Amino acid sequence: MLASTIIRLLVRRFIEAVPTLLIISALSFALIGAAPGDALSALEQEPRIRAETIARLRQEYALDRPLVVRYGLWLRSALRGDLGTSLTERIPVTTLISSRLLNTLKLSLSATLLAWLIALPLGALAAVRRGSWIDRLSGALALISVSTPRLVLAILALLLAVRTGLFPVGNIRSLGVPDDLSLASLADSLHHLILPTLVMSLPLAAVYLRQMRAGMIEVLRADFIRTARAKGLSERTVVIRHAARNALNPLITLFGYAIAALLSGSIIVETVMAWPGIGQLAVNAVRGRDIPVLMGVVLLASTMMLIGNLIADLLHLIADPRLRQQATR
Amino acid sequence: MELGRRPNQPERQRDRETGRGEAAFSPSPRLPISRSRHLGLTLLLVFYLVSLLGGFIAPYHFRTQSRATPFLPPTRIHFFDEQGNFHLRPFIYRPKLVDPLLFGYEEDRSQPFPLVFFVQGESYELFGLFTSNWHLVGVEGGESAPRLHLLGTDGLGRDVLARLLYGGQISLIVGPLGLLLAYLIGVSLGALAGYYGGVLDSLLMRAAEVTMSLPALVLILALRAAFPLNVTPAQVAAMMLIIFAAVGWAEVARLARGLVAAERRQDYVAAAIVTGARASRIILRHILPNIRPPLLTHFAISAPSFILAEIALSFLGVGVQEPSASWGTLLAEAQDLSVLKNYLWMMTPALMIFLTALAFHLLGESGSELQAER
Repeated sequence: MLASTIIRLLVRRFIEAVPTLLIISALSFALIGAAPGDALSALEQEPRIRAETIARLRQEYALDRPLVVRYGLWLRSALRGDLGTSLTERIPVTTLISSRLLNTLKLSLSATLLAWLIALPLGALAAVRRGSWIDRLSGALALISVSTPRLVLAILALLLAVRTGLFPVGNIRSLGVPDDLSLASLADSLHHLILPTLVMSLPLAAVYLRQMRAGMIEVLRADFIRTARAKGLSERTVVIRHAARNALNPLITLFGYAIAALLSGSIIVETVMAWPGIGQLAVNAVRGRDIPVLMGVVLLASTMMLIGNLIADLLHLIADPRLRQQATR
Repeated sequence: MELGRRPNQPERQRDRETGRGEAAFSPSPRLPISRSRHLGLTLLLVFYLVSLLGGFIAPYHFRTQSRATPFLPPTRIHFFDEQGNFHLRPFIYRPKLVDPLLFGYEEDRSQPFPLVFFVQGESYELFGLFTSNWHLVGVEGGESAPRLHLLGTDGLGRDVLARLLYGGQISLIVGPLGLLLAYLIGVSLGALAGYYGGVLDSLLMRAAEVTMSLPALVLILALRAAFPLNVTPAQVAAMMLIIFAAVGWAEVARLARGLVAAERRQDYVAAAIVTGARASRIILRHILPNIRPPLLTHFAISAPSFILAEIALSFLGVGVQEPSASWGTLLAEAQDLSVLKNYLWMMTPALMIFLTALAFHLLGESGSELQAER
């Protein structure tokens, strides 16, 4: 029953995703393309470049064609998996994006992991010892981290790095350190990963912590917990095996949403901390009016949003048997 | 910054349906509800008031440069002179550049300059309506006197306090105004969908879902790229308002739809229909007052992300531009490594952003707790 429900959900989402992505891509292409000027406008101010050269380049990039034709051309090659060539970096967009996607994933994966490691035990403990100093402290810290935007956190992290010299200031690895699997290289990338990970994960951890605490408090009030206690189970078993497992359900869903919101969250952090990921790429593309790259990023971000929402729903379905029955009915 | 779908949404939704669990969700550090509400309201009131009166409170105009004193640290206010005598009227000393490379300053203790309150100085505009040249505080001696920079100066010798307050006029207002616009659209559409149901309902909600599945910040960046970069500050602000409304209406519409649909089933609505009231009257006069508290709470919870969206855009250089100021452009100046290392007072916008977000959170959370109690 579960398998068929999942398959039906997958099929429906897949069918829905096609028009959604089409609408998004057409909309963003129209908006970006409708603006006056293009990637070559800046060259017109340059006296050393002849007008004919610019005209030839425009023709080469099809920038002189009407918007609809350009969208058609873009869509045709996009469907074949070719997102065009970056106008500023002269590299295929797919290559550019895939090389940077790895960095963004590295950062967000470690951030999510850290957030869970901090939030789950602390949230559960806060719920069990409600009103104790640990509950108050974690609650206050959560409020503070929820109220500290990543932009501010990232700048504070830079401040820390600059003032103490304990951490590298931005970037993914030190100059001269090779990108291989040697111990020195790994240690260096780990060292560079610490601050951005902290910045990315603190606001997440705050959300998870509150969610965990709230879920635990609700579950601990449930009848089956009273039953478990009445059976004579140790408090430890009751809390960990019975309560925590059920309190985790809503959090599992959050994992999907974290993927969905991943790109939006990384734009600022990557820009401030000079982390060569997708977010930084997007900002540079906006500044350089690099339409192919921008379209690629928008497409990637929308796809991740759809996938994230799908994962959230799938996990929810797997974790909560009640939903399964609703879905089949 | 994460506009659009908020991670804790499924939880909230469930709470609304079952009507319980919100109390357990009460997240804030156990401040009594009324106290955290008052704290949030007071902070916001002070921030908005001080920002709007920025021209009066800051001694100088936010664009006035004083090239002789770049990166001047906050001016120290003295009560005791060199001999240790106490003066009731505070005074300052003239700064003397001792390290032209890193901009180190020393005080020239030979002559004190007393402060005066309610003085005439540079003219400024208040609320964009009046022009005035009265300032809360200044230094005696007029033009020749040293300048009073309570939060120091930036690289062009501009007063950081003045820029912070003026930036607040943009950063505190553009985001919430965009959210307000999103509310106007979202609540109207959501109310229609929730009241009438049917095809209209499913169409509107489908549109809302598509909007919400858009990656907000990436889309905002893309939209912003669509417009030329060299436009007036007013145009940029208007542009950002439109973008925020276009991205933000969907979540509001969904919330309003759910609330209106729930009220629609209540007896008092049936009674109003029986008395022959028109739909517009029922929605505006009967239903809206009843769903106002959750809408207001949601506004307070959403406001920080909209404020931050403006700050992020300006920070990335695609929002408000120099020489105009927003907390985003101020932070962009502060993130320079040599500034971070040497001129800590440039970080004050970061503190203000934090406090503003904190105040809105306190307000929003006390709101949801209040509703849970009812």
